[in-house]
Amino acid sequence: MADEYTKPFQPLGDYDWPSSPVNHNLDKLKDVLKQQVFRRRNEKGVESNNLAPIETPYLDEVVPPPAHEPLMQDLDLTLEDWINEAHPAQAIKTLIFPPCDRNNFLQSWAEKNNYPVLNPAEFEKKLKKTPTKIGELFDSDILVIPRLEDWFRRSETRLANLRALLSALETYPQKVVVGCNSWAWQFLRKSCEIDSICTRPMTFQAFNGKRLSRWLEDLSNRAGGANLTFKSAESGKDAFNLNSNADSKNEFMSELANKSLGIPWVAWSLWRDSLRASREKEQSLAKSEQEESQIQTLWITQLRDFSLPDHHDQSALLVLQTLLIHNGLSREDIDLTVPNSQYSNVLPALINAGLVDKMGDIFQCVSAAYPSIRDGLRSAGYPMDVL
Amino acid sequence: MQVTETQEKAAQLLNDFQDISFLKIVLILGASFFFIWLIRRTLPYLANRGPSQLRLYILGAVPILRLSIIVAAILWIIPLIFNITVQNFFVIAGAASVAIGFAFKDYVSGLIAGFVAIFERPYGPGDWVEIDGDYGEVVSVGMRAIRLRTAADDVITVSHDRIWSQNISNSNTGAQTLMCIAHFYLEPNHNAAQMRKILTDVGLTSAYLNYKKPCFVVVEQMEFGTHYQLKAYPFDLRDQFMFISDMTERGKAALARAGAQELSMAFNTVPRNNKNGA
Repeated sequence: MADEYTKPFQPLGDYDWPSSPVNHNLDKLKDVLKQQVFRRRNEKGVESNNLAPIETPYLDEVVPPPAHEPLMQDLDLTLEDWINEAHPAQAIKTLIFPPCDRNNFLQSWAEKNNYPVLNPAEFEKKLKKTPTKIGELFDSDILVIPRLEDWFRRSETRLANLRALLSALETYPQKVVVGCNSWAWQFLRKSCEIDSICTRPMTFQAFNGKRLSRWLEDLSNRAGGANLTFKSAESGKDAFNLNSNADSKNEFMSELANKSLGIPWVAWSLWRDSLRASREKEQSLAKSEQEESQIQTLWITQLRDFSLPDHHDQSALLVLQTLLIHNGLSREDIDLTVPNSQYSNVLPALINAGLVDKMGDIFQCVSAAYPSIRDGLRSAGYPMDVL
Repeated sequence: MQVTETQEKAAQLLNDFQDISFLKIVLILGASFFFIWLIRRTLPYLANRGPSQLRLYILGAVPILRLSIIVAAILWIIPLIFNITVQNFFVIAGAASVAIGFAFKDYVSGLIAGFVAIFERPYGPGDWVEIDGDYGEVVSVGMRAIRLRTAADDVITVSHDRIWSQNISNSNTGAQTLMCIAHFYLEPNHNAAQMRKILTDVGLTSAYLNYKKPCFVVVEQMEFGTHYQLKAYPFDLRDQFMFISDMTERGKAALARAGAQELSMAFNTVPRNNKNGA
């Protein structure tokens, strides 16, 4: 059921970016000025040295994963009619998402609705030799291919699997939902002309401050209910209840929407990243003061800015670009997709800068750092994604 | 009485010595040199550190601003020294013509060509040009000459007056990108369609590729074999040599995997620093 917080997907290219690059840089400048000039005025806030990071298990309770929950309703609303249609005019629905989605949104959506998911390993094993029989292996009339970026590597030797999939899709008789990240999509448009098969791609609508506020408040309510408050460490104001006027602009959430580019998993990561607890001294003081109400306060600190390597450091930027296109790669695959071996020390440097992390063998861009990485690549003239 | 005075004044080429404000002239010259120095320092600095899309625009502003400052300074100083009348103008122009004709012909030709080059724009700062076999990036555009930095990191000074007599080959003419070509020479007995497809994929999968520009392969049959040219554009023209190297390296490997036999015949007739040469 649609409400003001559930919005259908829209055609690719219509994304309403919450902040333009110029505004983004002005916002950065404003933040610096605010920190330097107005820091001492905020008497109700807490000094940053009195705050400590929150342990991950507790953070998982307060702001639990997955980082894409509201998108489920958006996608249900978008595909509702198409799913119910017996013979839709457009058999393939193409959905484009920004990178750094760690929870694989489209796969989760397929699992929730019990739709079969096709992954590259299975395709290669069973179907590559008889691509026209692809429909016979699945009972459901809807097939989901969640991440096209898992189907190829940016190398002349590793495009065959994806091309075989595309030719299979051309003759596939039933409905297919295809997901792809926005960086991979631009690459595939150029290298495989994917948009001639996966036509009319769509993406979600950017999350504004209001939608983010509603979602994050909902998450915190489930965790601690009325006993948990989130206050700005700078001003001491409640992040979710600034004043009685419900339509008033929530500055922090607007800032979060701007900095996260309206992408839910980036906003979720930045939100988690900004939360701090009082150190023991302050906590015990708070306890005595708040004993009666038993309210626990989590403090929201300044949203983190990530500094990118200088754009003369081409090898670092090339590694970041390939990680975005593939949503994460092993060391061997980075070797395969990035020219030269000059980046041997780049990966540790990127990890130290907080831009990349390693899960098992896979290097991935950190979700919270994605806006900074995107800014850096655009500034260095790299081919950009489109949402 | 007044007519005689005016005639005398008109005949006087220079202003009275005591009327010339030397301090003012020195200040104008000093300020002009300072602003030119400031522009030549700051704009290239900003261009190399700002967004790459703005780089060539910022670099291109340097000669225009410098010319504007020089013209303004000259127009300001001349009336301070000379008594400008129509008669005097012809006297000065005549004297200048004789001096230029005998002593500074080539120098002034370079200056005039430099002036023309700013508006005609056969090259600008940041462009990659080939003049008389020398291929390099225009690192500065002076009043008389330009400086090219070649791929071998040599700096070559080329007078503007070359534009009167020679062809100037500009690879990007102010654009952010330029066409790069990787050459492959194969023994003639092979499947050309397959090789073409392989090389196209090599270009399309390069990390330096500009997605907005075409990437294609030109095949040409020659007496000694088949010549393949993989043509594509990098997203930043400063990456052109890395891009060509990447396409060549991966192209050779891909052709070898496909069983193609490269020709090893020496084929180096192009001059040093040439775009398509070494």
